[in-house]
Amino acid sequence: MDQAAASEDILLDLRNISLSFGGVKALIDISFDIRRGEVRAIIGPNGAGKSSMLNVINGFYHPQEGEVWFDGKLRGPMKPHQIARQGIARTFQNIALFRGMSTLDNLMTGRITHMHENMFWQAIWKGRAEKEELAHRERVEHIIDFLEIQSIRKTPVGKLPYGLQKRVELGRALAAESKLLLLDEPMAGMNLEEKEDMCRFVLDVHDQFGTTIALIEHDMGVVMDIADRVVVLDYGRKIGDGYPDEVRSNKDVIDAYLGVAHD
Amino acid sequence: MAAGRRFRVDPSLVIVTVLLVAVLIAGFTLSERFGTLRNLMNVLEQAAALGFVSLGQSLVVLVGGIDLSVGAVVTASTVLMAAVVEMNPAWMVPMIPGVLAFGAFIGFINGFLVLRTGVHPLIVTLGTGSVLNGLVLLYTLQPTGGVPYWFEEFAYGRIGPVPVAGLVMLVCFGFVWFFLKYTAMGRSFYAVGGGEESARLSGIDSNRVILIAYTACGFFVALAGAYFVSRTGVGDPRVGEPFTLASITPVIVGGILLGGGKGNVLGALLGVFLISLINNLLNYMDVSTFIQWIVQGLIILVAVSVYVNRERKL
Repeated sequence: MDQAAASEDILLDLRNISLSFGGVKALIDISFDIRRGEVRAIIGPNGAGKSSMLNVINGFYHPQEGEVWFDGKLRGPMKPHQIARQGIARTFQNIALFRGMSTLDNLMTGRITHMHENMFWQAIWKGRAEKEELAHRERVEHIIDFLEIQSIRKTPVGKLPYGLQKRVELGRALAAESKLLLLDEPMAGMNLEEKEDMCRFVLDVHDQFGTTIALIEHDMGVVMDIADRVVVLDYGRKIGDGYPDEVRSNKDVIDAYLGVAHD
Repeated sequence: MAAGRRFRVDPSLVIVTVLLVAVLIAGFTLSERFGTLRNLMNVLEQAAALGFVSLGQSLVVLVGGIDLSVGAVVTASTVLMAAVVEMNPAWMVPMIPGVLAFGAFIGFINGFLVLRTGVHPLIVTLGTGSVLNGLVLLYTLQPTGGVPYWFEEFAYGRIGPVPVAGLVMLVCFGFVWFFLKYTAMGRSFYAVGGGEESARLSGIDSNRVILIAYTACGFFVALAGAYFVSRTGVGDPRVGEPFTLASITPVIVGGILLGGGKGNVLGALLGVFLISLINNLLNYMDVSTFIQWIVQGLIILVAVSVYVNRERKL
């Protein structure tokens, strides 16, 4: 593949990212890319900097050094809602749904980045605003069917069990029809059956919608099964990057997971 | 699955409706005049001011804020309107949108200061309210100004048996309910109140939503000010005082979560009716105003306890 084609193939390119909070270095000179249409896993022990990395990608944190290239463009300082509008959606390690709203309304908030009619026309509910609202509603209904959550569509999400809340959160991120979907430990705290369901949904999302996915997950079995490539972080540094088989046999990665002492 | 259907009616609406029915039954039993159409329409007319301020407060509370300047904005709006119109009666018609724009502007300033300073809205709005009250009292210590008689139609006019002010209030509530339930911006209000950071990361410009909420609050509160000018014909520098806390009661009783993100303005509307009917009934029973305050306070305490317990179960 020539260089131009290769760069076109890359959706997100992180170059020499460093992030610190006071004296604590959360990320140190990290570079890796995410290709269009792949499932890219970011793994590492607790405190490795995985969630900080996702926070840099979606603009919640601004790195002190390094560049973020998204969809072929260098990203300048932007607010998180502007980055979301560029096409990056996310689920959270600790579920961040709008608990007082129904499943349907939570998913409809995911469509906000695609709604263009102004508030005045929305309030009047006429013409294009009405058509737009109905079109988005139809899209959301499709996602509800896809995630098999029809029975809870009107239920306030605060009343749902944990596994279903995780699914609704995935639905809200899917509703954004983003170019890049960031999943922060989507299977954390789930039982085996819920994990299997979530795995199936992640793979189906990838297959049916062609969504590019960046995934943080602690369950190595899941990671090795569904990821196309894996980047490994430890103490804020990148210690491995490659296909699952390469990473699995990487000595630094094995040491990090087995707990070899750091200097 | 039936589980989805069980929760379609908001439980807080059920609670406030049951309370409302209980007050109506008590009223019909205890007073002959309470249940007459004439009295109920009077209650609707007099509930308008509380309705407007509570509607504004509901919007701010839904996005996770609170506005303690509403009383001062009511006062400032009445004094501004009556004073300007007295100077030049030709300004009466322009002053109607003018005073609403004034209220919206104060609301915008509140929202801007809340966002800019990061200080809790309780403190910020208490500050702007105090500034406004001070300015009004520097201008006048007595009721001042005057408006043409025809403007009384807003407060006292009737369409059939229905009071105009009550009707305007119902239309405002209906419009806001529809806006919150069926539009993207309305959903953004709930999203920002439910989790500002999550909303931001979902692509919602939460600062804009908060500004709109405070601005709309100021607009509706100024409408209450216009109602008082219409009702009394003057600008009273003390008229808004009771409304700061009174505006919060129907919001809480109606089941809107004080932390934001949950609730329904129809609940607040029912809360307005509940408070107005209780006051009306207590008046018929010749109960002292001070007892009415105690009853209102108890209602707030009970409502908060019930809803906090319910919220914990979520």
